[in-house]
Amino acid sequence: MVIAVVARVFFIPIAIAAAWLLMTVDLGPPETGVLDMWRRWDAHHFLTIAEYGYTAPQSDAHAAAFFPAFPLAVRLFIAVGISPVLGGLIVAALSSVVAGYFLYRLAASEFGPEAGRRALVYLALFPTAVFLIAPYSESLFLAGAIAAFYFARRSSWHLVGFPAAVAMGARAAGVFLLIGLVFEFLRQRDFSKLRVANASMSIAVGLLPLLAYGAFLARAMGDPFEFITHQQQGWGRTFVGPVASFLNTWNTWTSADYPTNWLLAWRVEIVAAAAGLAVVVWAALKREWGYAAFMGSMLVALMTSTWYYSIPRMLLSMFPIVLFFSEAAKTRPALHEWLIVVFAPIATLGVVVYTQGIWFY
Amino acid sequence: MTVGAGGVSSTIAPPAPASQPEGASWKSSVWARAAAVVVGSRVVFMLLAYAASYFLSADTEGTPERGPLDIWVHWDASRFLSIAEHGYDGSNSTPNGTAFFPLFPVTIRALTAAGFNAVAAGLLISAVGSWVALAYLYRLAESEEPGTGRSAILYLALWPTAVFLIAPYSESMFLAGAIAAFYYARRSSWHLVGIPAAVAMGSRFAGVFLLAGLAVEFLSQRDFTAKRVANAGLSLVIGLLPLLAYAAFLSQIRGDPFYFFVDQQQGWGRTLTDPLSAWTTSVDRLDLAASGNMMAAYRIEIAAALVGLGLVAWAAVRRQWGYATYMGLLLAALATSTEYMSIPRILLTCFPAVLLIAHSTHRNKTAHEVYLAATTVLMALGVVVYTRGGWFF
Repeated sequence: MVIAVVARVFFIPIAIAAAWLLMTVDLGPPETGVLDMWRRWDAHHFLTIAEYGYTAPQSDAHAAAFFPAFPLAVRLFIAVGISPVLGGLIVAALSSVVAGYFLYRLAASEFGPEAGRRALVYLALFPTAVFLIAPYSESLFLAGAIAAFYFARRSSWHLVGFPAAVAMGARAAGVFLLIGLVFEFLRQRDFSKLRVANASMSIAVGLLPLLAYGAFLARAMGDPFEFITHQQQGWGRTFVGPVASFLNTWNTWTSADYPTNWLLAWRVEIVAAAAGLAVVVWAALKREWGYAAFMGSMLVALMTSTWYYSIPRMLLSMFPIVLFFSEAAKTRPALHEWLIVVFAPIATLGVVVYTQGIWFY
Repeated sequence: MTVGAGGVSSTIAPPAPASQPEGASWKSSVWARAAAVVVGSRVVFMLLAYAASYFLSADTEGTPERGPLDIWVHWDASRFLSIAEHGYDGSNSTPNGTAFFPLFPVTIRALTAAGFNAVAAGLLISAVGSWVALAYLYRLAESEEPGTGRSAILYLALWPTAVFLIAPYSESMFLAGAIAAFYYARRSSWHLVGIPAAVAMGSRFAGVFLLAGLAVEFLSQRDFTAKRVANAGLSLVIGLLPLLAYAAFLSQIRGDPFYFFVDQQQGWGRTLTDPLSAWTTSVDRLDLAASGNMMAAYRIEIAAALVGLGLVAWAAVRRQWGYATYMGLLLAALATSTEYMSIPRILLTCFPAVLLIAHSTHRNKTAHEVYLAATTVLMALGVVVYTRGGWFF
């Protein structure tokens, strides 16, 4: 709770200060207001869906790629007269609080209370933590995903279903969460009847939002898997081999007609993919098969897409990263400080670039 | 890594210097810790700055216009480099150059004579200056309150305007001298105060305020044996020598030993005025039409002046008269100049601030983490704005 508030106290004024300080030419205050500066890229898509629905002309032609739970939650705030941007920021903030609560409990229950606090700090300062503040679905997804794993780890399988459904409703990555939860169940090696029944029930509940969204899409657009079509049409994402995907991303360096910022953006995609793979290996070495399956399946999907796209942002959803760091820093106080000192500047750059309306994953 | 040994100051207190023989291992570990912070902060922020030069260039194609070192040369950095290259008197040299004290550009000149690229030389000198400053700061903090050294050096290296410890500015060289001088003064080694004080005096005019602070520190120690008086007196004289040498040089080339005041006025409109009118001028300009950059900067100047006053009051309440005098005079000079200018950067040289903050976050992990994160975030913003060429104090 406190950490979620503190992170906003840091980064929202920083975004405003940056908007002013980077305006070296034009006179007067920046044109974009303090709320509208958070409505960039996908935030804009989410908010138009919340305001007008998936099929309205105002919404993006490929709106179905965005899962419905986040825009629906924003819709609730719009209904009581709150502006879409403010509603989106509030939903992201509340979701961050829930995600932070369960992250604290999860880390504290396994590595002690100090580990809980450290994990919160790393999540709040994660290099792409700007998407926990902006009106994006990451925070809602994390609220569900972390809570689901929290209950799964303490073997309360009957409580896993509802949070898993929240995550599934928020992002397509909910599928990978469910895969991870299945592996977590297998890892625990206790197949008593009651547990099997509880776990299967929870996985089924977790799948419900996908089925519901599929049914909605079948009716509205004639294809239950229209979100895959829209991913492909809107963002050129189709399934290719991992080598082709890597080469497509790598070869961006030499094409001279890319804007300067995209040149580095593609390079950082590759760095992020490598970091993601390293964390999956780390999870496997720890024999954390549930976490490894969740993160691994997610990375496989990202790395067999036409090219690497938004992987730095997706790493934010891979919450086991901050758990592992928190455990590693338990006996290494200097590592803890260095993680803050390395993460915070990158997160700041992310906030500045994103709120300036420039591409940041 | 070498920094791993000591850990967070609030949990594991490194051995107090008083109870420890001045062994080589303890000394070297202080220098190693300071070096780790200097290298680590440069790796993080120089990469960040170069990444920002890509990420924020949405309107150009291809690689950014400026290289990873050149992005560190803006504002006063280009003036220092110009003085290093052309001297104060050269026809190509920066106008109003004598406002910049000579030791930093002279040192750059020495390195360029040895074949260094001027920008790299400036960055290197800033790094070495920071290293010395942080090592002495660690020992100073530990001698005042065991267990605060680690936090103190992090807080200074990550101060909100610590971009000027990396950029080719004279702040890090000044701090190396100022902190070392106060370190020796606080442990009553008055015979060792002179040389570091002279380094500070040669780097920045603020050396005068340092000497005043050291004099008050001597008085507040209330021990006036003949030997101490002689040592302290001699050190203060040595500390003044660079000022006298510079004045002699200026009277030769400009006919006025205090020509740096003239250049301050001609170049930046800085003249002595009363604090009230400086305040009024600084507040009134908030209404002027200016770039968003300057409008924000004007507001931050006022906030920084208030923070500075708070720091002086804090030092006074804790009866740290030497520190209070040094910071008080530094701020008084800024607050009686025509309008507030560069106060946030000057707060970086108010090093007692980080001692006070480290004192108050000692034994409070959450306060330490929150302060560390906040100051790092602010510094990152400063690095981005400065290396993008926006005015940043």
